[in-house]
Amino acid sequence: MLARLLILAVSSLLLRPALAVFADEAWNIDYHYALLGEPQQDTTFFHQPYAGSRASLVYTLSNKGALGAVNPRDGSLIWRQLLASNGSTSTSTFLRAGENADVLFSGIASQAAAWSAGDGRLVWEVNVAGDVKDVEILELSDGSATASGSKDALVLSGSDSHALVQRLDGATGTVKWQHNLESGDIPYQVSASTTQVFAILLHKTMLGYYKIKVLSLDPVTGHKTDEYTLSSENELTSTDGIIAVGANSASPIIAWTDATHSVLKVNIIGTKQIASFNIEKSGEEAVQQIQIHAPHHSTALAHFLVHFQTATSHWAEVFHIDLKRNKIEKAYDLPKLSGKGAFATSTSDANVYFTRVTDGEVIALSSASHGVLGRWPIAGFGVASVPGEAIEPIRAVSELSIKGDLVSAIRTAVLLSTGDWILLREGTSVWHRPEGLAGTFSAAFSVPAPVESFVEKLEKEASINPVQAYILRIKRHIEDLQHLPAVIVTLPQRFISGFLGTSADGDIGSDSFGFHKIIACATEGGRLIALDAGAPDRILWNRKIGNVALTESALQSPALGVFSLAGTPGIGPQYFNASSGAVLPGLPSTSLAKEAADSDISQGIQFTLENGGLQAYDTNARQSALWSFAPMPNERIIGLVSRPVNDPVASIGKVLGDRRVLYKYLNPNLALLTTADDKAKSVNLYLLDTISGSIMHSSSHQGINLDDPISSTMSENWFAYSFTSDASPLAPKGHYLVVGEMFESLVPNDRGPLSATTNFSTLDLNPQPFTLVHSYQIPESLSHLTVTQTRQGITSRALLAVLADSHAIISIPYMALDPRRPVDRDATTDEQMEGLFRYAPVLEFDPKWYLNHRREVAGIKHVLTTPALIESTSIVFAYGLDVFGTRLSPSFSFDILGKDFNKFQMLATVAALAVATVGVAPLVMRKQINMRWQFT
Amino acid sequence: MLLPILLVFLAPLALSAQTQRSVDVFAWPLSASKPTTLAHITYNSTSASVQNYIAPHFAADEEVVRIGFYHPSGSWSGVASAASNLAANTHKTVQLYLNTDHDLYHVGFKVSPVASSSKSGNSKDGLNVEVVRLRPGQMPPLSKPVQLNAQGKVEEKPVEKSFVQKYWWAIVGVLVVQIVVAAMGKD
Repeated sequence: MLARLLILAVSSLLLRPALAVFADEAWNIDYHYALLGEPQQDTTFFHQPYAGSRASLVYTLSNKGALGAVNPRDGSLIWRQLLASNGSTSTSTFLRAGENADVLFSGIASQAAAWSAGDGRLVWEVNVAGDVKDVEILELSDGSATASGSKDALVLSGSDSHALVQRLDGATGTVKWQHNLESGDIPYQVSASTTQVFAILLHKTMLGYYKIKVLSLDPVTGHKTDEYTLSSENELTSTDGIIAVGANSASPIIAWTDATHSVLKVNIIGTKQIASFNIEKSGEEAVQQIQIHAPHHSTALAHFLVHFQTATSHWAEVFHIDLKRNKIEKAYDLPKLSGKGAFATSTSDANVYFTRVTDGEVIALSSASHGVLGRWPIAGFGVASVPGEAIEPIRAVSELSIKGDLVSAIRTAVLLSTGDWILLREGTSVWHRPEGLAGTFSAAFSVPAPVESFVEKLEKEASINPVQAYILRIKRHIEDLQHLPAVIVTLPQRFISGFLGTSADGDIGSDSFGFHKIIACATEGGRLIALDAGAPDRILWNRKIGNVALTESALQSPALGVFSLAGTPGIGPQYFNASSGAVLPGLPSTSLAKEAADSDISQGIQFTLENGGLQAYDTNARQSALWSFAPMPNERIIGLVSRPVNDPVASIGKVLGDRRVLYKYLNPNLALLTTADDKAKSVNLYLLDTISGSIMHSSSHQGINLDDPISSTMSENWFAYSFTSDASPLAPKGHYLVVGEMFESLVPNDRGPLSATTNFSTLDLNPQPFTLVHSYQIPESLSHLTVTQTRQGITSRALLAVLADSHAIISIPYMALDPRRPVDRDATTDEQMEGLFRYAPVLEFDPKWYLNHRREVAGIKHVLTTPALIESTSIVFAYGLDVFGTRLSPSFSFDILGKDFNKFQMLATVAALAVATVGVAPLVMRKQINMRWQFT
Repeated sequence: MLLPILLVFLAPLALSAQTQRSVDVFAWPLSASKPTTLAHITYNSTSASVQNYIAPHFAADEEVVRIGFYHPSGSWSGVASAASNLAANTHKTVQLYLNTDHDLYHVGFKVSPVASSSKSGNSKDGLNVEVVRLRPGQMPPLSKPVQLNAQGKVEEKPVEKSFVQKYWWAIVGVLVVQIVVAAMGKD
């Protein structure tokens, strides 16, 4: 009886549903990059959040469709709105802010919206037919201006055949007028001068050239006042040739070039003359890119800068527009410099200033003359890269303040070729945001290379004969001795930190808990970026990668300390050193040998998705499919998950409360296939044995909303999937999570048909598992599911789920999902000892399950887990738009002391007790002697 | 004249009965270039029977045999099994997996470790066949919503009559008969 009580007590301690985050761990063990994506040239600017504000913010609408405001002082995100729901933008995006306006106008896909600049709240939104082609601000204040002083927005929208210009009220979004453009021309841009609104259309001629058609509209009524066509047909073969259509300026221009970049044509919108400028040939090199930088204020001087970029050098020319004579004149040249450069325009009153950022310095110029106002050398961008790679600025925005004729302060936000967005105050880097990580499509964990080489050496010692092993060990120790001076130097520091109990997180070199995994992220921007999971504040290295397949599994860690990146079809994988990012010529020989040894053990069976079905092949004989599974013609495959490759299981059975055992069905070769039928609105799930192709379990769900995410995962002997169901007679509308657990037999202490076998092949004997299923109604849809991994699988597992709608990641303890929870009755004492409690159809998400606690983790698409060196802990890394990582102990940190453990206090207590013992001993001794000798 | 009328009455009956379908299941040794017919099976949504079973013959060193069928579209679906499972002395079962429309989408093959007594009807020469339906997935058992009638009120069920209220006539009848019989006995 006492033993039973003891077991009950212990198990209730161990099996209590896990608390995910402790207060002292939050903000310490987790890390989060709240990202926006790479800022674009036309949708990024400095702007005061409200009129009269002294500090300005940097606003951007990124390539991931995220609109946000960043504080230029420290790079922190003030607010953020995700405008593209799936995190990618297929059409162009627009972001405009009027002078001294507290509202931003955005245009993306079919939505035009206004946002409060200070706090990011939505002011209004308008959905248009087709796509938004341009958004512009009408700077002129006619009699119809609203009381609040907000400026109106011009929106050009439509498809290729039918276009529409609308003037929307800045405060409410109501349409003031609209003008239909039914000519069948391609809507391109809208532009406004102080007196007129211009709609620029592209007319495709029979020969495939484009003619630029300009419509001028009355800004008050929207009536057409003029229409003319520019003869551009000799140059324009595609819309890429149009460089810029000046937005709001005193005199908007349109500029285009031919395919070979040999001539630049500029037209002042509203006039018919076309100014033509020959582009100087820069030696042998062709001009690759031409950009125009012009001020965006109608009160600013009508000057603009043309930026020419070749493969190895860049230069610029500054032009002035003579408003009276409607003439464009070249004012001055900026010298040619090697490498890439970025230019930015800023205005101060009517004056226009250009900022030039090269890889070595920041130069400020006035648009009026070629004299340099200020020149600041850049000491370093302060971002990680790999040795030998030149970091180049890609695009920049800048803000400067002028005192007299001198620049008193200049701030430039620069996007670098590494994908980092940095701010330069004069020439020094103040902060950097790794915006390139927002485009992560694949990530992988690896251990640092030094750890790997040590493991390899030990393995080698174990494998060769004792004499050689001894020599090797001596050699290794002599090598280690060389590090002794360095170790001695750090000894006092280590002693102090060890004494004060602050050494839980060492650096990569002394990683006793295995928290310092290296995480590599392959990004859409063509970079491979490595983070340290134990010290995520800095990026370890960041390197350029060639063409790769943009698949989720492109990046792998095939051997310790090595990352491999799958190439595009036809190109083999590339290998990288995990610690330094250096390219490796191939897999290290030792790991190749290991791989070969592994492949000898098992005759592999490989299964792939082919022709809309699953086909499995014997890796040794690939002539015809071993088994094949074809879904019905109306079904399409939407998901395929298998058990993780590294999925250790500590116990083959579940111990019941009465000490009997239920045997788990532990088949390592299981895959869960999800198919959807769009017509019948149903989802079918097939659990397949991937050796024989047999179906182990199947189920069908009707009335499913296929627009909502359907996610699934597998681990150990259980699987889980989640979907959203529409209202039907069988079930109410809602989100569901289904968990199934497989057993060899449902009779305790019985292994069913497998009782006599130690090893079995599903080809010979293929007993079906007994599957218990529970389903739960959950408050939110789960866009991605995965399971924690620990070193030996002793720790209980937790299901990690991404809540896309509330920007969160939760860890649901398996205890709460257990399909053996008793239905319609309370748990018996035996069941309580197992940790089972009564089944409830609705599973509420406990606030303690939220791993992100107060952080807002947006746009997560994928979550990775990997075991740490200590059994209790699983390392979690999530990516998508934001990057988030933490450490998770589903059964509490039973093998590591927490942060609340104060080593100093413990030692002080021991010391005090020792002192007290020594001090009190003579007194006690005297008292004892007195007791024996005195008879009072 | 009678026949069309009869057909009109019989047609719904025939439809309501399960439509019988048939499928050829093939055995395809891994080294062979094409499959050989294993069995011809007829099935409906609940049961199946083997019409014709041809014991397969293949090389002695054959390790793996695929068992499958051709979809109406012509694509092959099948599972792999050890060749020894197809020996004459084993107890073989072909499983037909039917989806919610009662269409065959996959097959399975299993052998019992011990030859149990064959089940009735669906076995032929050591080959059994069984139908596995795609089951509707489990949904949480939630309380049913309250049903309101057109007046917006909860429909109240009529109070059930008690046994005596329901069957008083039978009791009275029995009593009358007994009285009558007793009276006749006295006479």
